[in-house]
Amino acid sequence: MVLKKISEAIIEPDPELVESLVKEALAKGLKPKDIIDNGLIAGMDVVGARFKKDEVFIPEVLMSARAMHAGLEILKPLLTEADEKAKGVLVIATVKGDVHDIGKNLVAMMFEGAGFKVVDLGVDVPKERIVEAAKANSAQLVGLSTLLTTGLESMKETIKAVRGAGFKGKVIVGGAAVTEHEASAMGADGFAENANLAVDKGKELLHVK
Amino acid sequence: MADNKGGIPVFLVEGDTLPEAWEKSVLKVWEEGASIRTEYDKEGSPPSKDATMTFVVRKPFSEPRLHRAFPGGIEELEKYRLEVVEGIHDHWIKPEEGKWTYTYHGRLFNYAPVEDLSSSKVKSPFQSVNQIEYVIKKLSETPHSRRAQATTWMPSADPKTYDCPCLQRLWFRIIEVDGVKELEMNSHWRSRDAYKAAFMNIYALTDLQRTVAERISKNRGEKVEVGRYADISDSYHIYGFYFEEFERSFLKLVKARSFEKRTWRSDDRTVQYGIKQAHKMLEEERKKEGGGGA
Repeated sequence: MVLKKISEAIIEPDPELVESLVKEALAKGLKPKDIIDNGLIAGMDVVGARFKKDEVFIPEVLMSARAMHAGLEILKPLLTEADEKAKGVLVIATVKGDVHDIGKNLVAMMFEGAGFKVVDLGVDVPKERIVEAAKANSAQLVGLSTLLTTGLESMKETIKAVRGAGFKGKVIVGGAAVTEHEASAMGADGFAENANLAVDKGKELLHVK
Repeated sequence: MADNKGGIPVFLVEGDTLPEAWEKSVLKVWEEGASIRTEYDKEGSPPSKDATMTFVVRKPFSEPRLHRAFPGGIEELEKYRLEVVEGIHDHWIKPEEGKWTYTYHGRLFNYAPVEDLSSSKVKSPFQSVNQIEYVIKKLSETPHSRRAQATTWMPSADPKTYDCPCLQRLWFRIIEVDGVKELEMNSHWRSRDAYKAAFMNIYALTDLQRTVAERISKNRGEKVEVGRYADISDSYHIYGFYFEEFERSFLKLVKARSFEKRTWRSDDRTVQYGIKQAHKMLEEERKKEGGGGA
């Protein structure tokens, strides 16, 4: 019952309620992994499906993701090593020269909601930091975003640097300035027009469900 | 479908609250706007829907204050409010690093015309003007003045840049309604992305209106309420490359949901949580950046 309530507090986003329900679930002896899978992610799955069908506004999706995050913050320290196995690791950033982060945040949160470990480096991130983070976190995916056409060159340089450093995973790009044609020309493995498609594309590239 | 006969249409819409007036304005331009190409059209996208638009918010602080159709989360909305009102992102004005050439806060609170916006290190030959302080002082001394305005445009530099300000001018005046003084504000825009930008703009600017009213109240020792807000755009448009999303998502949700379910009250628990998160995130950013911002 408490898991259903957690899901509902994700679907109708209420981060504070999620926090208190997660604590209640732990007090009742439920396992952290169970709370994540059948409470938080179950709720986020519904939100993701509604988002795909255009049944929710973007701020609602982001607040659902924020609610999930609030629950995860409590549960993460309690996870065992076996529990922590994510579908994949995504290192994501807005490239150097661009400080826009709304689209990047949405993508990060949707990946997290889909069961990925997400390392969000923020905005205006130099290529060296992205290379370093991809290595340090053994990432399978690197996600790059830019809203500005002026960020395209920086994106291209970052992809080059990531590849040059021997990264064996996949690079996925997006943002208002990027088109599929440009993505392919700059050597990305995948392009996504929006956050939902980004998650689908990421799963497709990594062959995970 | 607009046939463009009669040129660019001129519309006036009104609403009591921010989301009501904004939503009406967007629907109006969608339904009756002219079809015009823009400099930002993408290959294959249809021409924008465009109009000269004035929309009036009769009670800017009546609830609900938030529409749910803006391109971000509550955190982004709160950060944007702080960017405009408190200048938390003025330190991102660094064109030499490919970053911003201006912020609205910078232009309104620290207006110093230059000819070259390629570097933040270019010095203005003029002393910078805090135009909002001027507005507060002017209306505190002469509440009925028509000179209380603040401009953003730099004719010496803006026409040469790729990304120049959409907001051109704010104009303020105090009027007495039923014995109560009210500060009214007009904002004047050269160009405006009605669907993606206008709501966040009005949310932040009406908060600036509130802070100006509060300062004048304090200076005069009498209550000055926030009066109506008028938003005037020469080109109020919905870009063609948004049409598909606009129909598929925005129009669908406007039709499917009640007004209450497509807006939020400021005191909603989720909204309050998002605001708190924004402040927490900014605090962390400030620590990382070593004390930048407001």
